[in-house]
Amino acid sequence: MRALIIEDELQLKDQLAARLRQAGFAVDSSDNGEEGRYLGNEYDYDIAVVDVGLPGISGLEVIQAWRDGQRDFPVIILTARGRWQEKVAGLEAGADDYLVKPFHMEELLARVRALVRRSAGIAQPRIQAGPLCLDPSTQSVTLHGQTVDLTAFEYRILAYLMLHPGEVISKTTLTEHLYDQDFDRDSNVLEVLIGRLRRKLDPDNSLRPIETLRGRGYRFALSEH
Amino acid sequence: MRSLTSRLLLAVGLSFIAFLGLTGYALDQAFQQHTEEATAKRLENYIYTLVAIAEIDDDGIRVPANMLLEVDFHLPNSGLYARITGNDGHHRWQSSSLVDPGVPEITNLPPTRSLFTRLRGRDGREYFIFAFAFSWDTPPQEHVHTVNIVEAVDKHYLKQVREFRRSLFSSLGAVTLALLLVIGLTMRWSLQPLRRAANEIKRIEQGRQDILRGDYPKELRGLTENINGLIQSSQARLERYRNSSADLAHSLKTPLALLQGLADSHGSSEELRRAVAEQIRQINQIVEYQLQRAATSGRNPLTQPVNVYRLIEKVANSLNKVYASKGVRLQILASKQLLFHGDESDLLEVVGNLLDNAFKWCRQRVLIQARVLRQGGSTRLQLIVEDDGPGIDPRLASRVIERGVRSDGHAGGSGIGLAVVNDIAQAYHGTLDIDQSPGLHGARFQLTLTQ
Repeated sequence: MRALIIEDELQLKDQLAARLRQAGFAVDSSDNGEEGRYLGNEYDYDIAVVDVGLPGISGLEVIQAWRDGQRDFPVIILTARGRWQEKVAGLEAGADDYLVKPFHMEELLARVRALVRRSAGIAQPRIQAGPLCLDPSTQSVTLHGQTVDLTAFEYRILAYLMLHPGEVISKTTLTEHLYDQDFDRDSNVLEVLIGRLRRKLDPDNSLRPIETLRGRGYRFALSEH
Repeated sequence: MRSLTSRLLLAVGLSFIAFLGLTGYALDQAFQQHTEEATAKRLENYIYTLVAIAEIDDDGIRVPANMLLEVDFHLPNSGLYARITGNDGHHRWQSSSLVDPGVPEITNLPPTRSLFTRLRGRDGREYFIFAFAFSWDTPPQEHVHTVNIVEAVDKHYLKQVREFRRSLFSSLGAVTLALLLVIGLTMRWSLQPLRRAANEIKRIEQGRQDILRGDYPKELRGLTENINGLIQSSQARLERYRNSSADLAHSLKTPLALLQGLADSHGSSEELRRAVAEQIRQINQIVEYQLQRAATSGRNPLTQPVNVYRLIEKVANSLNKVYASKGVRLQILASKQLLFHGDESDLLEVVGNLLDNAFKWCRQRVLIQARVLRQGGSTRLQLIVEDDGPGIDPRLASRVIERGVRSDGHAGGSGIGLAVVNDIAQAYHGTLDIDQSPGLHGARFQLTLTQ
């Protein structure tokens, strides 16, 4: 999953980015509205955290611009002012949730996860598909109840695929949602990672959780129940 | 126009001048006509006299001088002339005053006919002429003669007319000036309440007085009452700011003191961390609460009314986004024309906090009602918010509105929402009551705000 943070207070911005990375997100961050708006237009984020009180162009204007340009990813706003006037203004501009500063990092994380789930259409916090279970709050994956040891990137790939079950995800899309802007990507790495993931999840090749559709992409093939 | 008095003076002055001008003109015309008629009458009398004393025989016409009493007929160029002309055009007789041939005449009138008119003579001067034709029979033939009495216009007439004009316009002029003076004085007297109000406001600015206290005329009362309302609400706000700042300063001292103590203490780092976190939470809450209090506008009679239904809808839309996964069913019972005469952001604050609370605690259903109550001369907005959640323990009901007290230990938010609602209720001289919802069995909040 890929997240965008727009926050002009540098210490807070770095804190947020670190925490989200720790939670398994690829994170891009910016300290001003212009750059933030550009990033939101360019890349397909799964979640954006936007501070309302930005210098120059305000957070609300950025969100408005995104919504006008059909950028639909969920947005949570951070506001220093707790008056309802500001909350309502933010939500009317296109945000999906708000948090008043100062806040607990865990609260933000919980809301971020809830929004990601909601926009994927998933109601429950844990994603269960056959014998496979993914818990975003602990970033753990279990197979038949046994924990599977995945690297950060392997987890990210599986999380994204499981959040879009049955959908064909192209390599390009998957790459977009795995890496932040600055990462040096190699397109072959993805195939290697998928291979490794398959070996870990499906050692005897019976489950086949991830399908390859030649020329089109990958698909998470197990159904939820 | 910079002054009410000069506006009035100009308007009245101009219309009065126009009015007097027309009246003066009409009077002048009437006088001229009257004087002309008097002249005609006078000249006619001379005609009769002349006809009566003229001796007519075959040799001609003679008028005995001692019987023509009017002196001007005998003085050359006196301005009053008489002439008798035969129907052949020959002058049969003329008064000794008639020496100038340029004096006009009228002849050839049919018998018994008379004519009064004004003519210009060959000398360029204007004359009144009364002409009368008479005939008598002296055998063997009938003779017709025309008598002319001619008076120069500038002999009597012009003088009379000019004199009249002079006295007419000088008295009209004097009346106008007197009237303008009276109006000026009246204006000064009428505007005295405005001057008094201005003085009172200056005293209020200087702090020597609190509100307008004078007894003002009916027309100004709406204005002075509004000004007093404005003064009182802005003073109330100032009071609130002062109180919030003072309260803020005082209430921060305790957590700061505790932090100071912790900094000096030697406890374990875990204990320290937890204690510091708790004090920070307290400080945050105090700051947030006082900021909210300071931002409350309170009653203000001059503000634009707010559509309550639309405001509730705005808040509902926002809450539906935030609580999307919960799927709350909200019912709004309020007239779409219902208006609140108070500050919009204050109303947003109470509706937002009450509905947020209801959405958070409800199982599925939330009900909000809004209506206007009119009792004992005051108008109040009543809001009732109910939910089907667990409700509030009646023993805790009064404590829930204290800053920071919640009915459980949930994190998230600052815990001041209901305290702010209570604070705003007080700022509007209203009430907040908490009990159980009879219909939904959860909590019920009843808020009234005086408009």
